[in-house]
Amino acid sequence: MQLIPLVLRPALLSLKNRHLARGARSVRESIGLLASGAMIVAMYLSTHAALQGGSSLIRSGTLDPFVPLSLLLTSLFMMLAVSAAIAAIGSLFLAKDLDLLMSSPLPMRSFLLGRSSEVALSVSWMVCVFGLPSLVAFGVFFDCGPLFFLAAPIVSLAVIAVAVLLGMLAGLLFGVVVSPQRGRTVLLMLFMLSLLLFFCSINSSSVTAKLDSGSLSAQASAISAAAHAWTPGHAWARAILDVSSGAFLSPLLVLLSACAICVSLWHVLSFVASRWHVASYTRLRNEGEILRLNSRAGQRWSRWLLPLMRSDRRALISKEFKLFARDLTHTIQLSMLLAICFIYLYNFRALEGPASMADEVRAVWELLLLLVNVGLSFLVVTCVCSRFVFPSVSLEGASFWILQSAPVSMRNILRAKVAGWFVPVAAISGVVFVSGAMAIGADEPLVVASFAVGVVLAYGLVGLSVGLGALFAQFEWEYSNQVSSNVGSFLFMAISLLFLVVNLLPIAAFFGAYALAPEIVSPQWPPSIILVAGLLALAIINYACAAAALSVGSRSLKAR
Amino acid sequence: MIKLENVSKRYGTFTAVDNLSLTIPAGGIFAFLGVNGAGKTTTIRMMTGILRPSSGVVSVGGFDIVQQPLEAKSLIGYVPDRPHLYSKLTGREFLYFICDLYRMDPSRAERKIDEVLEEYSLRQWQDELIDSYSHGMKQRLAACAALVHEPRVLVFDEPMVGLDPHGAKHLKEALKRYARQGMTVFLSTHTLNVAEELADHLAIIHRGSLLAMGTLEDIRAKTGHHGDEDLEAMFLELTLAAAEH
Repeated sequence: MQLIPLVLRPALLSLKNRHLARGARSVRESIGLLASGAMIVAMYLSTHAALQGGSSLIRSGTLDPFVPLSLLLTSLFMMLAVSAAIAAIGSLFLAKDLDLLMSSPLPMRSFLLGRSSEVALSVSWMVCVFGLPSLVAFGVFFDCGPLFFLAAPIVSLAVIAVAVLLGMLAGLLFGVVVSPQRGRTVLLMLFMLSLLLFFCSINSSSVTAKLDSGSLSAQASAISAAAHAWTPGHAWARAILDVSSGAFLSPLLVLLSACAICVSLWHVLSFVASRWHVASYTRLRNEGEILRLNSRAGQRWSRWLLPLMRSDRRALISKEFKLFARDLTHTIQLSMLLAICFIYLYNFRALEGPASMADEVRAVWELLLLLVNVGLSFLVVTCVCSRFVFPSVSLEGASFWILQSAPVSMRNILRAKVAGWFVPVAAISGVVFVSGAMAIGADEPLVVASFAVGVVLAYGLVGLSVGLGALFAQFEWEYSNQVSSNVGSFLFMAISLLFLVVNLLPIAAFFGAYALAPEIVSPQWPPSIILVAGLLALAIINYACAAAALSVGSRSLKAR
Repeated sequence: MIKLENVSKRYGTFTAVDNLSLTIPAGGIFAFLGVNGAGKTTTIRMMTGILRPSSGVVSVGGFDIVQQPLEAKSLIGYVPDRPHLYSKLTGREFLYFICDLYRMDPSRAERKIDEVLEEYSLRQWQDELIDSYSHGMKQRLAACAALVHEPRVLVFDEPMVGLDPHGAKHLKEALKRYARQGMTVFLSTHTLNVAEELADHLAIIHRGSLLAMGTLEDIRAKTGHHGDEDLEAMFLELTLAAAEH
């Protein structure tokens, strides 16, 4: 116990106590852990299967294994750094125990060490779920010796530490530099600027040349910029591949460099924190006190926007959005997710079929792309739901007694959450689905059908998120970001993948019937009837799934 | 107005409330007394529909809180001991939220909000985020939220915690006035002089079981005390005897 940083001990002890406590929650968490295990195995199997599938391309030299590994590791590094930055803002500036810690004689370095460990632990599930199984699959596929399984995790741990410390520093600097009052404006400007830079870099002549070349590796590296020498995934992937082939010089260099970067980052972090953390924390507290709002105008607006809605439902929806809009960490996450949507759409554009394709082949290719678009867009919308909709019940936090003691049923509370979140999620979903379909040049009816599919899936996903969010509700949290990284959130991701499969089968059937053989399915009706009938079936599936999830969720909340 | 019949609440092997029966008449102030951990807050949470009893029946205004929760809850205004409110709403926005949850007519809601904010001296702060309120201000806002929908039963858990002397005096007078107007006020407290000063009826519980119930005179008679002996002496005697037993 003495080896564990002091600041981290309460979090670990409460985790231990929660698991020791008997009851339905520990059963739910056990189910969550089992599902996580299943997800890890699935990740291993799918990576291995993907490598097997691409083995002919790898052997012929068309696809350098370095590229997919580099893509994977760069994505992992970025996910870790971004998540660590968001968690760092919460743990350094917004956590409830900060008053206690700031008033105790705790050296800044101990405080930072505890907070860094906490942030590292909170983002470590990504490594366990995505990184570790993929790494093992790589080692098994390339038949690497036991040294690979020893050296690759050591190198990886060092690089992960860099990502976490980078995230910590970014979070700290954000809190120090950006006034929370102006946080949203600054974030919006940063977001627009980064999109502009991204757009310029991806349109540079070298990238366009790569896209035009025939090599799959070159195209893959061009559309994601992941294989550039300056990206962390580049060095990380090179080191792992070298270990797999028995060379240890470059892994050793990467390990030493990562350690040196960690030490440097730690010193910068300590310097910035010791100079400016207390001042920034004080400013954050003071600025909250001078904010005055026009409460009457807000109420008039909500009545005007939702005139026909029952007052209790309208109150729940408008409360949800006021709280969302006033929480800085939500704004940060929203900016990140919008950036993901943009990158996804831009990359997807590169997959449009070449003009020289035969018509029959083109039809199959377009159908395949359309389905890939449905799958990937679904994942983007799932990310949005897992960050915002799933935690919405838990975010009631200690104020949940207000709803429990009010004359509103749990079912209506959850329905209000669905009604509130459906509109923005459906808007994002519709835009992502339609943009993807338009980017690959799909027919007009299929573009319209993609929009409808996006809206219908958004309803199903929002219902599933709210229902599972209620089932895995965790009302005790230190800061809001903790909720979206708990076991329930992870289980939600796993279940939504299953939900995707359930939806993809009928979508594939009716898109396929429309695109490939409409005359076989209904010789006397126009092909658009197939789309309408398919959409109706999809709507029924999604409504049923959402209703079932809401029913389970409201029962669970009532039983608390 | 409030009736608890053989109500128990168990958490695993621990029994927080044990076969408790209470009958609280309409109008007047009822004080619910007990040492820390006696089961007062658990009982209140069952009365307000936040917790389900393990066994027994709780009814408010004739409505069973488990079978007809919406009807029962619409009669109750509840102020918890720790006023966790939505910190990113302003005081007035929070009261609008409560009025809409109780489906009040908008013009009546506006009038009642102004009235309670004025009464609890929060009008000046109504457009500031609750985040910036002190503990006492939050407590007063929670009281406003409990009163704004004009409940027939007011349940107050530890009403004096966090209030300054002015706030405490004002609240005591307000509670007396509500009772005179016909509201049933149920307060849980271990501030015995407050209970003695305000309550028409009292109940003392210890480890989830009822030790005594009735008027101050009834409890004096039960403990064998006479004259104007204060509640503190009787409370200590009853709870110490129960602890030894």
